[in-house]
Amino acid sequence: MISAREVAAAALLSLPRATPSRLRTIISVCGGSTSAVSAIRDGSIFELSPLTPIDVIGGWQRNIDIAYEAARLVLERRGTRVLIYDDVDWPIMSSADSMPTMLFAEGDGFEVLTRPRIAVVGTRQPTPHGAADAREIGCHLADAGAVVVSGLAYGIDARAHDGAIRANGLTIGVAGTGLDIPYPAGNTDLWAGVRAHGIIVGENAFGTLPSKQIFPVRNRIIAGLVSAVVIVEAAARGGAMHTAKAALALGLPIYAVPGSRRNPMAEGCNQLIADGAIPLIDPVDIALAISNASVSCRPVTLKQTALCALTSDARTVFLALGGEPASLEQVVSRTNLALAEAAGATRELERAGRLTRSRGRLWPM
Amino acid sequence: MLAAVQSANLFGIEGRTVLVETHVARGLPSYTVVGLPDTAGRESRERVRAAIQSSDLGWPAQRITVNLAPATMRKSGSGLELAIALSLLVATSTVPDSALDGVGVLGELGLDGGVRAIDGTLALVDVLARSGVTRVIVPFDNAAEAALVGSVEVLPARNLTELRACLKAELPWPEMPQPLPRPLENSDQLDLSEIRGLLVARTALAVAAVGGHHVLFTGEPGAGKTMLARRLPTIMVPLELKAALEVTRIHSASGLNRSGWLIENPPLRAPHHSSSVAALIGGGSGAHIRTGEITRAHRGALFLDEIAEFAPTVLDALRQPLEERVVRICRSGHTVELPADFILVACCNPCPCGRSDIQCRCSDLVRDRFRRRLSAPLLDRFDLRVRVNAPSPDEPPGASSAETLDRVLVASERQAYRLRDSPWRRNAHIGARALPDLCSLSALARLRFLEICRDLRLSGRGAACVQRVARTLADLDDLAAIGDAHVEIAAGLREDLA
Repeated sequence: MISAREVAAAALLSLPRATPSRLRTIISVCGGSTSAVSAIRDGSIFELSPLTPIDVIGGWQRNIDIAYEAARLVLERRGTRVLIYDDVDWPIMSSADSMPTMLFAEGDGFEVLTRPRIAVVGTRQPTPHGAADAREIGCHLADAGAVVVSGLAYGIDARAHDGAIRANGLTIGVAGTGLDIPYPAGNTDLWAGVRAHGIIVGENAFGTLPSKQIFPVRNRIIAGLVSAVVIVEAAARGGAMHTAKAALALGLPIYAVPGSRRNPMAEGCNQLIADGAIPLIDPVDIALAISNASVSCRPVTLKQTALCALTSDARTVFLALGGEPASLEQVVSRTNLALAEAAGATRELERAGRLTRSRGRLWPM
Repeated sequence: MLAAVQSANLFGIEGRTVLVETHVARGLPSYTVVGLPDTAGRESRERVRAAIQSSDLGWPAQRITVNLAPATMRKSGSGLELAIALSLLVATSTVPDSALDGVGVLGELGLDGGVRAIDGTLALVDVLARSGVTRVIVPFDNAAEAALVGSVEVLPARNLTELRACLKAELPWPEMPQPLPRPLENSDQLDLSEIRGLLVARTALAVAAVGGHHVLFTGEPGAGKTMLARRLPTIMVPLELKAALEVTRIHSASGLNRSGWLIENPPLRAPHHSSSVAALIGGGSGAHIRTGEITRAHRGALFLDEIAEFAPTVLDALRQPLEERVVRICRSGHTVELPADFILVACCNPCPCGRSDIQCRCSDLVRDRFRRRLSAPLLDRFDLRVRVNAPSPDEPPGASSAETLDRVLVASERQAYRLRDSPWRRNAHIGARALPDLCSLSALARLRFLEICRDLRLSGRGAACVQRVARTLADLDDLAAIGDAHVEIAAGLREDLA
């Protein structure tokens, strides 16, 4: 059942020219969203919040009744909850003006609000290595009892959520669009998965469509929700770097996964490390850093066969790859294996989860 | 005052005999051609009249009727003009009747009475020979080509005046022309040794050359896809006489070969990606159906560079000919069946940006959309799908065309021997039911095959295709039995486009 203060908060949020700081002011001076709504209705808001411009309050007065009714209907129908900054379990520590005063939230896992939370973000076009790292980090964090927070986008975001889901852990998806508009459309299944293993939150009203400006703004919420940020792969400029900047402003620790200088998708991470971010050498380190409990070396949910259990051809090929992507021809010329042997070995490695194919190259895992 | 001369007309790539009858009677002077000629045929009236008048052979001021029999068949082109002129000369007794007994006549006329070359001489002489003609009069420039038929005496004609004298035995027939120099073919200047590395792609090319498997190269620009594809004819088995005659006949009928040489190397046709359906498949209206690129590539290779840029309708039109190796073009009134047994070799970039894989910033979504330009049914017809990665410059040059061709020849012999009692000519064509007999796997290979089918989740068609390619690979190694290595490589040559 939706509480009256949540409906009131949603109604306030939908009022014209209701900025986060104005909302924060009136909710605090009135002592709660419900009383703020009645203060607007009966006009006492003029005395309680003398600094709010009169025309703004006039607009609020004209709209408050219909806004309240509309908010009640939509929240009841969708089962959406509204998190408000004066809640006991309000997840955003920072009280900076830029931070939202309330968030819509939907999902089955509201216990995420009381757990430690870590953001895992990165590029939408990861290399297979970055994608695997993101998934592994998601798994480790979930295993260690932390909540994986990310942005529901393609690439690193999706893999991080997916890792947490596979480990049967908890995750928060921070949406830029309204919660009724799954975006990107190709991640609709991921949205459902995140709802089942945690919650999706967003500050924008229902029906808000994706736009270019929305996502950088959304990234500050990701930073606000967490106690540390992990950047897995990021180009020198991009959304993940926005999140890092926002985290830096909040004084959060930033972990970055170092990469090869030949990998343009590692440029951002390497730059962050040069600027003082903590290099995340092994995904398990992040789990160790946030939890005192013992951490398993490799999450059981990610199946990989140990190298020693493979045939010698497969080991030869794996070592010849040297951690970097290569074509089958390069493998053949490096190893003196026949084409058929090398092809068989790559297939075996693939089956063992030690290799993937992408963009015509073999990527050791 | 009545005369009849044997001639022939092109229909698709086949010749059909036409009897040219001329009737000269008293009456108002007139000249009528009946028997369903097309525009070029109707215009031939003026050329025939001018040619006879310029040759001082006398145009009868009488009522002239020319009939092209059979009357219900549409005739196309200008190749009947010489036959019309000669029949007229016989009808006016300028040329003795007996001179054209058992003679077929082909050729176009110039206004000065000269005899001009025509398309499709080989097919036309062939059909005349089969209809019982023992001697053919052909344009001087087509004489070498007509001589390829062998079973008829070829009489070259340069102009009407000389021709009349020869027919009346006043002059000897002209010497057969010296053949033109053999036209330089693409494949004469190309060699596989110009390409470095690319071991896998080279293997695929050799497999295609032997087994007739269609091959798709994907890879970043500059990796060598086009170079490889262009060199496919250099490693294909030269055509045996029957096939060479067939190909020469097609090219001659398509107006591509006037040199008179027999085409002995498999042709490579490379249409631009703006080609229309009719250009690729064949078509045209009226009497003359033009061959498409797929027919011109018969017994050779059709090379579609940047296949993703072709219009989807054009590509999907390829599906039926790829399956049946003939194309049937139907127009109201007639149907032409054109042969189209070719190896399809295609190239495309993995993404629209055309940069190397490392620099490519195309999202997976964009790449997906680009890939989907090739429909799944078409993609499925490529037995060999190979990713071509640019070789590093320090790699040694690979085997030359001659070395590869040696292996291909041996493998082709083995293949031909195995398929001698089957309806198929190449491994890629073997029907699914005959696979256990013709592509039997050794015990070890069978184990590996099942493992691969499971690992790669191959469909029934995919598995059969791996088996056929494995057969060709075993042929290339000159082995009777398919080994596990062949199966392994065959599976590796059928990559998903990712």
